[in-house]
Order: sequence, then structure tokens, then C-alpha cells
Amino acid sequence: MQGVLQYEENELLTAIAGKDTTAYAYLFDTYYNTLVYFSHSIIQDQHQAEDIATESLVKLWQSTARFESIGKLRGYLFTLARNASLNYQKYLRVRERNSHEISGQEEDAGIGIEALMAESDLMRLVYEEIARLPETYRQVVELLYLQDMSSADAAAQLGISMENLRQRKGRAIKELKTELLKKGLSNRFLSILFF
Amino acid sequence: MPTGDFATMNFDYDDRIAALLHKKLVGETLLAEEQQLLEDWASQSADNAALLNKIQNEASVHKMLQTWYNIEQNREENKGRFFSQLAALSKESQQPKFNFFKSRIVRYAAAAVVLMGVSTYALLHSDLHQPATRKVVALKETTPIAPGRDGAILTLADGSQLVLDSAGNGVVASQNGANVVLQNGQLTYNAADLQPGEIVYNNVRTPKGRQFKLVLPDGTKVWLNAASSIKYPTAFSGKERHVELQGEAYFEVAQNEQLPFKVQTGEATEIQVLGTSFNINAYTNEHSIRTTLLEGAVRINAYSHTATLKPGQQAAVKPQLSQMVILNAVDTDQILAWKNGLFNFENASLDEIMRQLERWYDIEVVYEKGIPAARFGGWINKQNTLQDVLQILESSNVHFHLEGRKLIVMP
Repeated sequence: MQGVLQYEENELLTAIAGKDTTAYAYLFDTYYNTLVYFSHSIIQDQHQAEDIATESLVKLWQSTARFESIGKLRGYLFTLARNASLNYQKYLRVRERNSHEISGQEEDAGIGIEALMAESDLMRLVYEEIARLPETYRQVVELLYLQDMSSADAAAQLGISMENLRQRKGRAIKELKTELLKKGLSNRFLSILFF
Repeated sequence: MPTGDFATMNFDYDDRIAALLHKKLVGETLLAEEQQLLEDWASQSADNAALLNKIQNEASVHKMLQTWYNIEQNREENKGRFFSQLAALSKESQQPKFNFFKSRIVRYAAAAVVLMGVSTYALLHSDLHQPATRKVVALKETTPIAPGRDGAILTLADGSQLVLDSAGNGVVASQNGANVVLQNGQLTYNAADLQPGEIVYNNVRTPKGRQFKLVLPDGTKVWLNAASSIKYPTAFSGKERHVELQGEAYFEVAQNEQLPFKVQTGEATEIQVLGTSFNINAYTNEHSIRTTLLEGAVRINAYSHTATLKPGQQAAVKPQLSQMVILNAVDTDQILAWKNGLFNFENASLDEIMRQLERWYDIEVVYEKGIPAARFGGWINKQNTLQDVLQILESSNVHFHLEGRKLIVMP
């Protein structure tokens, strides 16, 4: 079994080194979100983080190296994203110092890469729980919980009554497994009653 | 599956931690050693400890999840940009990158630069004569439409549905004693302790813009093209292995002489497999059901006809005529282009091409003045954005414009 997996990993690494675009589609699907999340946590700017993540994948495409393992390749991608994020941060700080003359604390404030990767992988798992809900429930969770939309607006957007929305939300809560999600969503439910 | 069996990532340490944190967040009880592992991890750094704390707080989880969601919202668009960037890079660096565009397309592409100018002029010009209600936007200025990717919808025996996404890993369901496992965008059945008893069926369906690979309970591999579905039992028993297909799939059937493998497509076509790999294209909006054999042997029963194929042969069943035609020495690379990440437009008519684009880019195609009679040639990478593909096609004297996901074809 181990042998088989090894071979498949090799196949992937060869495809990446050979600039096979289907392999890059796979890489994008696997790492893009995590790279953006990672960069975003350093620089707190989503659009800039998206550019940094995409740029890291483009740099991988441009590099001529063939990585010996997926672990190394992943390390390379995240190093690129980290360096680009820190450079961006430094650039912002320089700009700020020019206007405010703040004495700089230059250290990188030690980004806990490992914690961030775990956090981002965790969010992937949690988000999947929502993404796998039946369509009508998923919409409700997206609008009310993820987009913080008011229930009146959500009902209007879905073209359903408030009562209908309330029912769908109740069912969505039942379908969800994660306690904190259930709680988060029902808290929003209370706010409907108060409004 | 764009290319197939990609490996399990080997960052096992991280992987375990995220899974354990998830378990804790879901509210499942951790085993003693899992708890220990998590505590050890948390004690390694202040950031780790802080994360362990954060996931017990609803407001923090909400905020983290919103960050993830916002990233997800822009993902498809950025994927389109990413592939445009890669295409631009290949163009400026080496010519050989375009080897797979056979000569005809290369010639067309060269002409495209000139023609693009002409067609843009034509578009602008014709705009003057159009009623003001329709705004004509050059293709280049429309938001890039990203190519399809891996994904499918699994319908379990009880009718419940799960969305399968390349991102997720793990056991997604349990069916009659078999664990249904999703790993690296591929579905497998793990029949650890099979319960004898009634046969239950699962169904995997790809919408437009998705393709998917699965391994059936007997080890048979199935690559499912976009807008297709397959129905199969979660365990094969009895005298034969029977599955039902709609749309297009490539099969690599696991050998088992005791249990012949049969594929049913449509009402009247049955393909009996004698240990082998083959492709079936049975989209209902194509003219015929085409079975192409790569290795081994298959027997086709359709209407009152029966034929046994040899490798390299193709059987085309025409439901409207209740007829079957056998073609010799077909180009199997051409047949399998879709599985290998390419569009094959060799000697294809415009409507054939448009049906492929509809399935892969999840668009709707309308013809403003009938279907132009052009024939095309060449191969195009399926990871291009829709706009890139259209630009190549435009060099053959057809023109397009896009309104959202509606593609209008003009002569």
C-alpha cells in the first residue's frame, strides 16, 4: 500500500515539474484557500492575500525544481507566501513610519505557521459541514451566519416568508453537527425575535 | 479527475491536529491518546495553545469561518485568473508548450491576432445598428469563466445526498457495512465487514462543470465526465455486476470471471464486459451512444444487434434508427482526451464543440442565426478559461459574446 501511494505521489510531483496544467488545477484546489488564509492572518487584507497566494502558485510553475516530496513542495509554497506577506507588512510599516515616526519593532512577531495551518485546515473541515447541507438549508446558513444578513433581508433574497425562513433555519440547526455552529446560528435566531 | 490518482499528502502531523481540533469542535469525545496528542501540541507554542482556546469560543469560530467563506467566494474567479496567467507565461516563454495544438490550430491562432482586431471592430460597428437594449462587451472584458473541476453529488440508499468536493477527506457515509471514503477527490468503498442482506444502490452524479473518479466496491475504476451519473450497488453479489450509466465515463474493470460486469445505458443498450478498459459516451443530446474499447473485449447488445469489439474498435448505437455501426481503428487518444484534461476538437462540428463547452463551463449556448457550418481541428487544454478557448475558436470565423453564463454564437 505504501508503495502504491509513493508512486502516486511521484506521479504528481513529476506532473508538477512538467508544468502539467491538470496537476496545477489540483494544487490550486488543494492549497489556494489555505495559502490565502495563511497570508490574510499576517497582513489582514483579503485581496492582497489572494494576490500573494496566486503569485506563490505562479512562482511554483516558473521554478525549474522537482520536489522530492509533497511535504517539501508544500513547505516551499508556504515559505513563498510567508515571505511575500512579511515583505508587504514591512512595506506598510515603512510607509507608516514615514508619516508617524514610530520607532520600529522589527521582529516578525513570530508567526505560528503551524497553528495557522492547523487553523486553516480546521476551517476547511468546518466549512464543508455547511457546504454539504441540502441546498435550501445551506443558503440560510450562508446568508444569516456567514454573511451576517438580517433575517428580513435573507427572507427577501430567498423569496420566502419569515416563518418559512425560521423553519428552514430550525432544520439547518438540526442537520449541523458542530455544537458551536448550532449555537451561533440559534443566537441569530433569537435576534429575529427581538427585532 | 483531471489526471487521476494523486497521493495522500505527507504532512501527517498537521493533518492529525486539524482533524482532532475538528473532532473537539464538533463535540465528539476524544480518546485518551488523542487528547494527549492535542495537549502536547498545544504546549509546544503559545500560538498552538491560543488556537485550542479560540475554538471553544463561538465568536472566534464565527470570525474564522467568515474569513474562510470570504476567501471561498472569490476562489473560482481567482482560479480563472491564475490559469490565464499560466497561459500567458507559456506563450511568452517557449513555443513548444503549444505542441498539443496541432498545426491547424497554430495557424488559426496566428491569424487570431489579426482577426481579433477585425471582430472587435465588427462588434463595435454592429453595435451602432443594434437596439440600445443589448450592450455588447468584448470577450476580453468579461469576467473570466473558470474551467470545471473535481466534484460530484452522492445519493445514498435512503435518498440523502452528499456533496463530494476534492477538498474533503474521510469517511463520508456507511452503507450496509461498507464505509464510503472520500480521499483526494476520489470515492472508494471499503467493505470491511459486509453484511449480507438486501442490495442497496448508490448513485454518483456530476453536474455541469464537474468531473469525478470513483472506485466501485469490486475495485473497478470509473472516471465520470461532466453532466453524467452512475448507479451501482454498494456490494456486488448474485450472478453479475450490473451498473447503469448516463452521460460519459471511462471504465477500468476489475477482473472477476465469476461475476461478469455489465453496463446499462439508455433503454436498449447493454455492454457486457469481459475484463477490460473502455469508454462509453451516452449523452442523450449526442446522436449516438459510442462505446470505444481500449483493452480486452466487450460485447454490446442493442436492439436486436450484438457485436463483440476488439481493441481500437468503436460501436455507435443510434437509438433513433435502432441501429449499430462498428468503426475500426478509431483514435483512442481522441476518445480519452476528456479524461486526460484536453478538449479534442479534431474534425468536430461547432455544435459538438459547444455541447462540450456547455458541460465543462456550466454555460448555456444559444445560436443567434442557426449553427454555423464550420469544422474545427486541434486540441485545447481543459484548464483554460472559457474566454481563452473562445478566442482560439474565433479564428475560424465564428464569433461569440457572453452575457453572464449565456454564450451567444454569431456567424
